[in-house]
Amino acid sequence: MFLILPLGLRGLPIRIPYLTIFLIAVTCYAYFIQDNKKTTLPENLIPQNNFYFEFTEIHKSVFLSLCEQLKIKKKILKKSNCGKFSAYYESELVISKKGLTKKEESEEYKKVRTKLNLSDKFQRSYNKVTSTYLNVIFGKSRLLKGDPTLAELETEKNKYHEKVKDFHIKNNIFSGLNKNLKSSFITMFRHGNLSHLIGNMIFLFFLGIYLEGALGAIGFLVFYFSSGIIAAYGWYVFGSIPVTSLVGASGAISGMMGIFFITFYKHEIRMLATILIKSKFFYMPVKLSIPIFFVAQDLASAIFTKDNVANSAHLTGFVAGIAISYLLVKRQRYPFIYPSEYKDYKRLHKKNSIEKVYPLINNLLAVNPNNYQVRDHFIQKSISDMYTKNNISKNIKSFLKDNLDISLAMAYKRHDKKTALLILTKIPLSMKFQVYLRRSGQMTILTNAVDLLKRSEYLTALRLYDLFLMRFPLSHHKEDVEKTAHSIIEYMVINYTDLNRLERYYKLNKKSLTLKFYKETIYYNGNKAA
Amino acid sequence: MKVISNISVYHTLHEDNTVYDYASPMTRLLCFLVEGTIFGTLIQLVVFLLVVALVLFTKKTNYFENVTYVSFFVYIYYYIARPYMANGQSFGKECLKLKIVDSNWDDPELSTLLIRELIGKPLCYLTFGLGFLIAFFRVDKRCLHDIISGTYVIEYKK
Repeated sequence: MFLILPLGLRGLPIRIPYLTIFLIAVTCYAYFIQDNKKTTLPENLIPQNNFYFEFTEIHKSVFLSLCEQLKIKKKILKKSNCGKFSAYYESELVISKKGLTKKEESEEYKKVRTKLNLSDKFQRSYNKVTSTYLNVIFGKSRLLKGDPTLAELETEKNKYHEKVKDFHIKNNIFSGLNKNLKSSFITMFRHGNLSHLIGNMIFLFFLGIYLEGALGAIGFLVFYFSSGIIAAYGWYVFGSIPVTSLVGASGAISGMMGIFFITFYKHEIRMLATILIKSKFFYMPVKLSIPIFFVAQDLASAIFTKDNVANSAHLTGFVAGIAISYLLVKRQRYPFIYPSEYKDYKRLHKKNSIEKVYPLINNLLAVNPNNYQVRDHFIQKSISDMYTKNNISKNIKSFLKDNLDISLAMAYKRHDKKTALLILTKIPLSMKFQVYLRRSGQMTILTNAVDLLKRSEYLTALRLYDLFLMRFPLSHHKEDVEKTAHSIIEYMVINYTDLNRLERYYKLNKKSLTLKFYKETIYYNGNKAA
Repeated sequence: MKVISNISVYHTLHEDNTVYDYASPMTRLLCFLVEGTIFGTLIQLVVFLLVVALVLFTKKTNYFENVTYVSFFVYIYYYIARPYMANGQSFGKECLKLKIVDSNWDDPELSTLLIRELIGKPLCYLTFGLGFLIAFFRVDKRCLHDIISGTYVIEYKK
């Protein structure tokens, strides 16, 4: 039906994450082969009536205020009735365990009513009251009688907790009663359901593809386990209930999500939204999508719903991940992701000619195609090489063919005019734009041309307009672009600006579409001058 | 025409290489669901925080009344103020490249957006969703609220 799926980061190639696959295999092994039933309480430790289980968690003041609210809302709950309610509730618990038929049950209830001097109407009002109200009433009746009920209950509770604690220590279960480093480590390999396991492992796989390379094998494992342990302790501090146990790798995974959020902050995630047959791809930046998808959803579920999801573990894990990535991970600046990438760049940076190291640069760009810093630097270097040697080798030619238009498009996207114009103005006349800028779009060409005109680089702007006319003959802008190109030629011819280079340009490009107009203007102005 | 350093530039810098078309009802449904799932929880949180702030300042503890007030203002921001400021695109429409335009295919005015969201859409809900289903059978793929306010929803394809 309706699905939203993250498909990966824009422009980055997918690496096979061997270590995460191993980690996933281990957790799956722990789930299927090892006895997972150890986490559930045995029958003798499960409390007999649910009331007791819930009441132990209610604070005294909360409990009393609830009683007051009930008195206002329901007229049935007078002081005198409370004791009868509680007695009736206790008897109901006894009767329901006997396993009688409906008729026999109703007869038994009648007997109880006659014992307690209750009318038949009482049954109706009793049915109206929900189970939570009943718990409160039952507790209140004991308080009104003046019994030392709360103290009694607390001693009972402590006894029960000790029993459960022994069980938890025996099986290494991380819970509100038992907190150990060992048990917090083991919880990462235990899961509640199959769906819980699958959901967690899909997320881990997605994160592993990108983070394994960025952190390294040892770093990945260390940060995974440490963030998981921190998340478990966070759950113990903020959201634990004594008897319940923590289960699942989601704390560690949210820690990795925090590291992912910081390292890939400026990247974009490719998403797929589908409904029945219709599907659409769209891009969302990481800095927006992870807070919206992950943090907001966790916060909302923590505030509005009462599931058995450990939201506090998720959130503390996420914060721990962010803290780890700031304090411990040696982060690279934005276009760099992997630590080896930066080292290679520094090593290649010193070399004068790029001809010999050309395959290394290609490898560097294949690992991270978004790295504009490497691309722009080596493009500039290769162009300067051409000026000094007056000879273009095959390697440099193919490098420029592959990367020139990509670097221009990326510069246009991040509103970085400086580097784009620097590269464009340096390109010699012998290099034809229609060969090297085959893939750049209409807007990149036109905006760059306008920016060049602002800096009064007329010839390069004209070259760009020429390229536009060659590449997009059916564009809406065609006539307007032609007019502007003509005005540039007129200005250059009349004012004698860069005329020599203009002449040379038209000698080299005999197929250009503005050549005719250039000849006409030269002829007309020449005659005029004569 | 602009004059940039003595040269008259005739062309504009608007993207004209895109082809606009009426958005199909299925993509609009998809957009609605994406908005609900991605921005729904965020909006829920914003409403909750605003309600808490309202209670702290005014000390009126009627929760449901406060929620209705706040969610009404958030609705107005999300569906009217934001599209008015951002060329007829709410956050979800911006993601899926949809756009609201008026009868001349220009950016919609505030009055048309007000009619569309405050009169048109309630009418659609009053007809038990029939107002939305009309779009499947029309050539121009407009819902009831589009017809009332004279707007179209278009998507641009390269």
